[in-house]
Amino acid sequence: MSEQREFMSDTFHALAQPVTALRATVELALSKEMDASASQRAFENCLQLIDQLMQDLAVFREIASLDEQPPVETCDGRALLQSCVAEMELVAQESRVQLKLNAEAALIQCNIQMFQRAIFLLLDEMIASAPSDSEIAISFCKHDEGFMLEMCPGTLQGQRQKLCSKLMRFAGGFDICATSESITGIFRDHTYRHIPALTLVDKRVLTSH
Amino acid sequence: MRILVIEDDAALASYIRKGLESEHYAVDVALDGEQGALMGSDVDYDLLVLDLNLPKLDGISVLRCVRPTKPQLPVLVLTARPRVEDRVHALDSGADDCINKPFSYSELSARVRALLRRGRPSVESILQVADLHMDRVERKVKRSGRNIDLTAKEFALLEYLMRNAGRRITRSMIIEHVWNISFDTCTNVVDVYINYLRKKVDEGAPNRLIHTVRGVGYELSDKAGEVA
Repeated sequence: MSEQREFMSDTFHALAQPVTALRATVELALSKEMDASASQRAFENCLQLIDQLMQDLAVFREIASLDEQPPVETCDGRALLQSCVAEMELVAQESRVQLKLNAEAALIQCNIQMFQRAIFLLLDEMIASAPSDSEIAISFCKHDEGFMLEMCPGTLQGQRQKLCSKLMRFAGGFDICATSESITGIFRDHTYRHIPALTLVDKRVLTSH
Repeated sequence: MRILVIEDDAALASYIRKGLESEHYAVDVALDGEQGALMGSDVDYDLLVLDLNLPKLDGISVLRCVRPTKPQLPVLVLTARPRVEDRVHALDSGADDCINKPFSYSELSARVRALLRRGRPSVESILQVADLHMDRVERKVKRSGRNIDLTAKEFALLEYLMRNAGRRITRSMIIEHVWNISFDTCTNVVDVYINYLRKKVDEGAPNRLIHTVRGVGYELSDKAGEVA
């Protein structure tokens, strides 16, 4: 399925559920005489559903806003990751969750802003869903094609996870794999040079010699 | 206070008008860009609420018509466009703030209040609220002469609060302006940062500057006690 069709399909499914529930709540409320407190409860239910709907729409808007690969630059991957983790350290402490970072020195190619947003959103969701006194492990180690970022445990499936994967890709990451156990992605070493694929003309020139 | 709402969706315009009128603002509505540009230029409004997708004249063109004659008029843009570039374009064209559709009325109302209390954004390098002093160039903060060490994020948060001193700021506004994310986070990251900032800024001081506004968010001001 193309990325665009998958996005449309995800959007439809994510919105269909709260809209259906919203309609059912209103239909039920209109179908019978209700006292003031029952009406109040019905309104509160509607408001909760609408809030959920708005949250989902906001995440879809973020996904849709990422439509062009931003430029990457050489940066100190370890320092960048350390600053992203340090930023969420206070939040983790409040939730009694330990952030354990193991990062090798790494000069990588990435888009710094996208990288920061991806790590912030991933840690935000991981901390929120982690039980007290648990640990979140973040490692950044040498890999065949660059450096592999691995965060365990992973995040819950859903649109936020898709947004994080897309942000990682826009940050310059590839081979991104997100499951409930871990999320991994590889970032290219700063020495990597992109070699454009051969065009048909190039191939003809090469084969004719 | 008189507000002009330029919005072509009659139902949405009516909902905004009713909400703002219930807060005792005088509200006019224009249902297309041409009418909006005319009213915005001719009538003395305190604030403009402007949709970007408008018939006859789009929102950006309305801004360009109104800005030369009303450089101080605060403009809040409503947008359903997802791209960051659209928001940047609106802000570059003279909007003071943007709110994404769909929005909650309380969020719109908070942003209207914030815009009405401020003039044009300040670009000074020194910010001062009571005895709290921030040097944005030197990246130094002092309260009553005492140095306060802040992390980069705490500094950005305090700067945002100081720039909006005396105004009620919602958590969404903070997460949007300080963390550059336009939806709620899963954790209480804003509250955690505010608590740490409060310890550094207010602890040991004769009065508190960072106040919790129940049901809304926060306010940095020299007034005593919690803000109801």
